[in-house]
Amino acid sequence: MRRLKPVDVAIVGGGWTGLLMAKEIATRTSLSVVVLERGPARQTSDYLTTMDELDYGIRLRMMQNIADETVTHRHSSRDRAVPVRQYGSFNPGTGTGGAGEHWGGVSYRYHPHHFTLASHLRERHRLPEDLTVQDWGLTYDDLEPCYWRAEQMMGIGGKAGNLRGVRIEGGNVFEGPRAQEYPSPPHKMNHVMTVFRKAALELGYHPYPVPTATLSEAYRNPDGVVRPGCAYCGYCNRYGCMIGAKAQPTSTLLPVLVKRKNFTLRTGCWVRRVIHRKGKAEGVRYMDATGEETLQPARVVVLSSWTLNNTRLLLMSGIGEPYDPATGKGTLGKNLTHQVCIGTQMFFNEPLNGFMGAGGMGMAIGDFEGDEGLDPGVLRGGGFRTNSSGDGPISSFGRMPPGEAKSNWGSDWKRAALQWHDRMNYVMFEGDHLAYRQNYMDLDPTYTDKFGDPLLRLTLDWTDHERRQAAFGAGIEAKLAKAMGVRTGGFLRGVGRRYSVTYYQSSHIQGGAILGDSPERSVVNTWLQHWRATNLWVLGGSAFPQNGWGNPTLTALALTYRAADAFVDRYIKKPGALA
Amino acid sequence: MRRREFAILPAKSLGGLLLYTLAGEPLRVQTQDGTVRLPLRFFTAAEARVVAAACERIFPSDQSGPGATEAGVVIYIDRQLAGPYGRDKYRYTKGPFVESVPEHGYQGQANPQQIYREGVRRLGNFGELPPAEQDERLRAIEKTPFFEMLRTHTIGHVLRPTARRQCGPDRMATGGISRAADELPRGDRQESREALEAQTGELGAGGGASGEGLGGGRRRVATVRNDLGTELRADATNLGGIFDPACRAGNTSKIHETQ
Repeated sequence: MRRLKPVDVAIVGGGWTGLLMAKEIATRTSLSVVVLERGPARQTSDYLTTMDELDYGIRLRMMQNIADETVTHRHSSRDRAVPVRQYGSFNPGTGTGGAGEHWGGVSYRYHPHHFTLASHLRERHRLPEDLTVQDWGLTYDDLEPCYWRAEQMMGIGGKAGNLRGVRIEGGNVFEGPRAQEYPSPPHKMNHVMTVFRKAALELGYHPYPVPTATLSEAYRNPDGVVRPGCAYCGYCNRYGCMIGAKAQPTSTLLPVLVKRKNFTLRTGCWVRRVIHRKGKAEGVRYMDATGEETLQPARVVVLSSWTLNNTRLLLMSGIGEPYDPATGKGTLGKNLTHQVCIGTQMFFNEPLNGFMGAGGMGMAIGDFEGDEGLDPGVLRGGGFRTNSSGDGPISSFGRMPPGEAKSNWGSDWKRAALQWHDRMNYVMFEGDHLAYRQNYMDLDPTYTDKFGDPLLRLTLDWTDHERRQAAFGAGIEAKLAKAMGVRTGGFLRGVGRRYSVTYYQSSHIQGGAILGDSPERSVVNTWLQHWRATNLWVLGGSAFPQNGWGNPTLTALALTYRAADAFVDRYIKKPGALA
Repeated sequence: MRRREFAILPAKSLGGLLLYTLAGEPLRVQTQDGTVRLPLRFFTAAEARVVAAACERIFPSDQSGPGATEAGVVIYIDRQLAGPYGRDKYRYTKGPFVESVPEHGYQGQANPQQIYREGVRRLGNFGELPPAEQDERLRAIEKTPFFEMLRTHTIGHVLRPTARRQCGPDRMATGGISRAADELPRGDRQESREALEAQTGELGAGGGASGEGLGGGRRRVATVRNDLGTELRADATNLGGIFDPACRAGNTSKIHETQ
């Protein structure tokens, strides 16, 4: 095994959180920072040729090759897990920038009640015993300045609905107080957004433009990085942005990092273990691009390789106590959550120019983003929105109202598909997914990755609560569609009878190394520092104690800023436990 | 090595023999007698005839516009199956293979090459049947993995954008043609291009590096060398001004301005 010279900080995973942590440390200190990314090197100029739906949108060229490593899934501890053999319900990113390169850019903040969810719910309900929701151990007010920095770094476009406690119509009036207006204005309105907004107002709801990381106009961030406004080409989700309008690690963080001599990015490096002794991380062991096993000693190790791989690395490295659903003991792997989704197809009489759009472009209503106005038995709601993310020519073909063709091929179908082409949009619901005792992650006893390491096993299923949430969502969607005067069709991404890995739901998977205010209930403290190994930091969606409705990236980045501050301002001066 | 087999396609297919190179440049293939012989890389000539006929029933050439034949879909499926996709290089294929619930999707061992080979064999004399009987036979296998694959591949290749800078799908939806030079997904473009060039001897004039010629913005590329000696390049100007002006103007002018 090759042994490299020690570095100060080794960061595992070169996506949003890893590169942001690297930027903060490398620009604010003289520490040497090495980022180990197992995927390929990427740069913004790669994306000038990616507008190919078959290759990228459907065959998922930018995702991790599932042949190398996947996860297994089972519905309950009584079932036998089988591997997810092809991507369906979520898409893990890889390469420089990770999933941050091909994300859609939706950038909601969580609401204040999301951070105190367990207390919030207990004040209102007697909670079932299998519910393992937890407070975050920090508040919205703690995170607000970090949200603002993440929004500035990416140039998030939106409209404030609560500016220092003053409610502003046109923004999300239900949001927590913001200290500042968004750094960029929202996107232009398209036809679907206009019709949705009018219908929502008629119903007495409070519409607001979805905040996005795709710039509505040219923007210079506090690091001096300049990006152009969006051209509405619609190649965002599953693609890198051709012009750099969408905030991506390669377009916002790397321009700063490449100027730092104390920063190194190594691609093709597949980290397999965190090396540790007597409660201290000593470095990481990885396979490099040539297949050579390599030891990188480090004074501090940061895991930022997404929810699933963070949890898996901790499990494989034997750091922390694996969670046992039977006894409720152990913290590592607990509170696995995904996303409660359901969308309703809406058919318009007029063509929509749906090929134009931006990943997060849409209009939302905030009225149900908490626990007001819900059906009986539904503890938590979520967001409703339209999404004009840019229809691809292949995946948008063949969408038609029910009954227009007998099958999904042949002459009749083709004629109907052409007739209904470009006349469909969705109204979508994304709800909180609560944490349950029985949904968790551990190592699979049977299946392995390309190096022979065990795969991560997901034990996950819907409960009656999620099915009620979805039914509630579909009901509001029907109401909105009716007010818009459009025909409705089938459902999208719906919560089914059982959890399915065969169709896309979202890539918002959380938990496994959750944060909290005590080592008995969490893996990391609220600065994302590991409770047991204090020179180990674990960033990203793995820290979320439960899914909080909206897309998680902005919150993951805000938490990373907070972690970086604690590291730079406190930990370096006095290494040891921060909490 | 097996004997080389050819698909003989009418010249009206492949959109009048308009192919696209890797760089997205159109290239016309000349023909003397109204047909073109293209070498097959996976199918036998007999298999290709069955697949072409089945694709044509899935996405027919009819009054509503051109279909799978004009788009030369059989060639694309052939190339795709011959490459890593056909050999399942993008699916988790470690055992044990066990039956599971429908929520876990296809758990079988057969790769796309094997699924096609068996599916086509079962279609038998499909190519010689009248269209109504062909439809009946396809309806009988509608729920099989083979048909699902055949349908998805047909639609995907008919509707694949003809040129990367085309912003909208309008032309696609009325029957376009696909690119020929890079039919293999995920990381195999170079291989596919070379293979196709070697086999037709006609493609490849396009050349050109990806992305050059898009817009006129000046670029400053910062280069750093990482520990392994590989270069990391990042765009220091952040692409200011690099966009396709035609695309931008065409798009934004159609946005409904209602605020």
